[in-house]
Amino acid sequence: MSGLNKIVLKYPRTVIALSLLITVIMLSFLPRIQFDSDVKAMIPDDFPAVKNLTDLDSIFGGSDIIVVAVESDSLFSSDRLKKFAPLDTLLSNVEGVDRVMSLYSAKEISGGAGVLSIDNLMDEIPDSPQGIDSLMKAVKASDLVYESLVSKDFGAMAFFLMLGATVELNDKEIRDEVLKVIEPFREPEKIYAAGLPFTRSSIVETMQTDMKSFLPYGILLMIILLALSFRSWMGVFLPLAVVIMSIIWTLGLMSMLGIKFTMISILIPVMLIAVANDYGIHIIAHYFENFKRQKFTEKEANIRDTIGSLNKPIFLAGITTIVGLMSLLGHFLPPAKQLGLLAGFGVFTAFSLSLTYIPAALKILRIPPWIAEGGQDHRFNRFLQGWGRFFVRFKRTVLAVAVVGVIIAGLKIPTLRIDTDPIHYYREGSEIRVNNERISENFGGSSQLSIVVTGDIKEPATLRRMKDISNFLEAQPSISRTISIVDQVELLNEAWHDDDTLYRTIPEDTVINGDTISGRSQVAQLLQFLDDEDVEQLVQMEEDTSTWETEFIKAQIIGRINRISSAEILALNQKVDNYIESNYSFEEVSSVTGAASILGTLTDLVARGQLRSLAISLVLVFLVTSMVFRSFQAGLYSVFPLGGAVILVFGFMAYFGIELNVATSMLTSILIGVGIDYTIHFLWHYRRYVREGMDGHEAVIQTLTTSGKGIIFNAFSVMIGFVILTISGFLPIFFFGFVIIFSIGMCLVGALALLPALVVWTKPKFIFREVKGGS
Amino acid sequence: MDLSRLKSDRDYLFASILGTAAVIIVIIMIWNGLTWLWSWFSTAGDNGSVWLAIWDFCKANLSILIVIYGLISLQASGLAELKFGKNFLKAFGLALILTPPIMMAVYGHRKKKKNSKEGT
Repeated sequence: MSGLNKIVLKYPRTVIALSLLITVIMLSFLPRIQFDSDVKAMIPDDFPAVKNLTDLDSIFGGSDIIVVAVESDSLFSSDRLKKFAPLDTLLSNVEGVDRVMSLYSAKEISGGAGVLSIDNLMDEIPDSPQGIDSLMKAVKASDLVYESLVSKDFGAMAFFLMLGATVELNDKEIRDEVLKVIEPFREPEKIYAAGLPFTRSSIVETMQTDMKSFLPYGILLMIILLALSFRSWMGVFLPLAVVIMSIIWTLGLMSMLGIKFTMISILIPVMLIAVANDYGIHIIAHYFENFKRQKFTEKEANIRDTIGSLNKPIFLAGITTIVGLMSLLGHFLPPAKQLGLLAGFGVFTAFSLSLTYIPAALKILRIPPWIAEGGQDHRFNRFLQGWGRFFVRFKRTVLAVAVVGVIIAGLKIPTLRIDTDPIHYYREGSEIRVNNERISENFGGSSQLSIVVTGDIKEPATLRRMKDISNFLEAQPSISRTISIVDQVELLNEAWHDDDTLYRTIPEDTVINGDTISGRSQVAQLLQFLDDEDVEQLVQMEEDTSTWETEFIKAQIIGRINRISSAEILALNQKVDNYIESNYSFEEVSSVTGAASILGTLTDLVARGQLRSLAISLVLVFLVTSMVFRSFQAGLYSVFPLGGAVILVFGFMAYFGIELNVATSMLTSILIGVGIDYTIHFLWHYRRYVREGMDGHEAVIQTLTTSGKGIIFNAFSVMIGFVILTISGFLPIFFFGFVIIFSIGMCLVGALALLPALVVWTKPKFIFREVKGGS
Repeated sequence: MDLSRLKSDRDYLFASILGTAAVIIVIIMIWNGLTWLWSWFSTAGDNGSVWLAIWDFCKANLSILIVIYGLISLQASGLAELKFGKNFLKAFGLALILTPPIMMAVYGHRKKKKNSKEGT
């Protein structure tokens, strides 16, 4: 009996009041919790992709775009074009929208008879079929419009809303405003809207809906499970109180530290519902069992015995779970680190409250009147005995089957896919996915990557460099098209030379009447035809105080990306970066950035973070169990079922096409943190019975019928806790729910089937060695 | 609050101090909640029926209302178990299905019947 337990029993009311006071203080912080749906927030700020994107946004304005697409069989008719004409102005009036690019505002650069003119492609909407025909021809001839603002088959047109980065934009407000604007224009035509602000606001709404369902339904499920198990108010209320308090403390800490809810951190309350009641359950079960067996008739003596005998196993189970969860601190993704820290704190809170609040409450509460009438569950005992005999008798076969299963699963792992695209958070056929797919098909995607070129942008050599990069990008199948100032310069040059297509090039030094006119001065002259607003999203302008000329010191090349997987984006990122590295210095040409490149970087971090946190958790668990049993062999025996479970889980995911994503990459650390408890409980009690003089077979049966029950009940309560995730609106969380249930099941089988077979077969020294002063 | 016990029992004294602080914070939170509810209630009916707004509010927060109902049922069945010595699981089932007051009424009625039988 430790000093803390003595204090708890001496001051039970104080302990309860203190727990409640901390709980209400933490509760008062909860309303301040915020939600963060930005994919950028998933990556550390100091990563090049994020730094470059922040720089990009500050130089060229927001990299966020919203695409509104109108689809109709007869879009190019006078009526339809007139109907949608006001949309351009209405959308540009939406707060946060810098400008709108559409067919209605598109410019046409043309030349002839020594005159260069930049006019609207469509000054007025044609009324006659001939007018419509000539408009379609003009669209087809315009590189800036065809397949960019108007689809290839003329069945759809797009309005690109460029958002400003200077003001803090509220995604939901922008989305609602855009939807309000387009609402009257729907039917019979179809209108789709997509873009990262739409995705982000949907993510926030889904997170809020999930939180609203997870917590209440999770608690309700737990109440029912505890009621059926303990058949007593005390057995339900006390573990439940610990769960609720640990959730409040954890979320309170989250709010105090300013950590925002992400798609990953909505897992925290569910994890605590599933895991935090375990320690309380063990204490109540032991306390009731002592009364049922009439070992004690007096409350305080029973509490002393219960806490005395459970202190160590609960401490060990808690520490190993915390260690497993804290291994997520080694992950690369900040939300994963936050999850590790907060879930670890939650479990620490739960096991501290289980050892303080529950004994204090037990001392004050009345003993349930029926408690002495309980009995043993013989049928369950017989089942466990049969289970133990089977796995001990067929130990070699069982282990051989397990090894074959693990090898088969391992062979499937290389086909495991990684996906971090936020659009894939949603089910196929959902509005957000359909909208993105339609826009992608018609206009080459609502996502883009950027490369920034530094130097004198008006210098033809710099423009040629940009042209080479653009050509390289366009040669990639996943890039639908590129946009840069080079396109404008070439079009202007062509128009300047009376629309002669031979001049659709970057101007070179030219000798006229013996005078050399530099390419740079020609470019500078051509660019004067453009308004600042036409180029401000493509170049960074700076006033040269010596010449009072506007210089272009930086330019970006935008690559529009088709809908491809984030793993393909990662491959594309690496290919483009390699190209840049081998041809230019990073001072003159930046590495790839942009919203799409963030997804690629995230994919890389998910894969590397998964491996790192898995390695850390296995090593930490190995060390902790080695220390507990004072044997490295014990460490290996503990890691064995977990390692097998990890391989089976990845094989299971690969077989069923479940991707590794920001949510499922948390899986192994949680699996190891929770699953190690079963192994420790089994080995701890098995060793005890062997040292009490039982042989290996007997000790297995005894362990299964005593601690085996607790392990099974514990595992089922964890699985039921995680079942609630299957109602999530996010596909990654939905699949996470399934996979975590499968993995906990695998850990259970590992601890109660494979481990008994293994220890009986191999008779490890840390269990069977002679103990000083006894057997 | 038992003042004489405050002097003699340190556990009771500490718990009273901490408990009072907790109660004050809870009162403040309830007050804030009621203020929010009042402002919501006063604007809820602006665009239509107040009852419709309440119905929408309940629909939007159905999961929370269900768990509150579950918790009330749990506490009521705890009372039935510890005070009237009833089977907790039966009491909990009855409270969930028939609502907690009806469950308590059923048990109260049975208790009265039992007492009157014992009396005769």
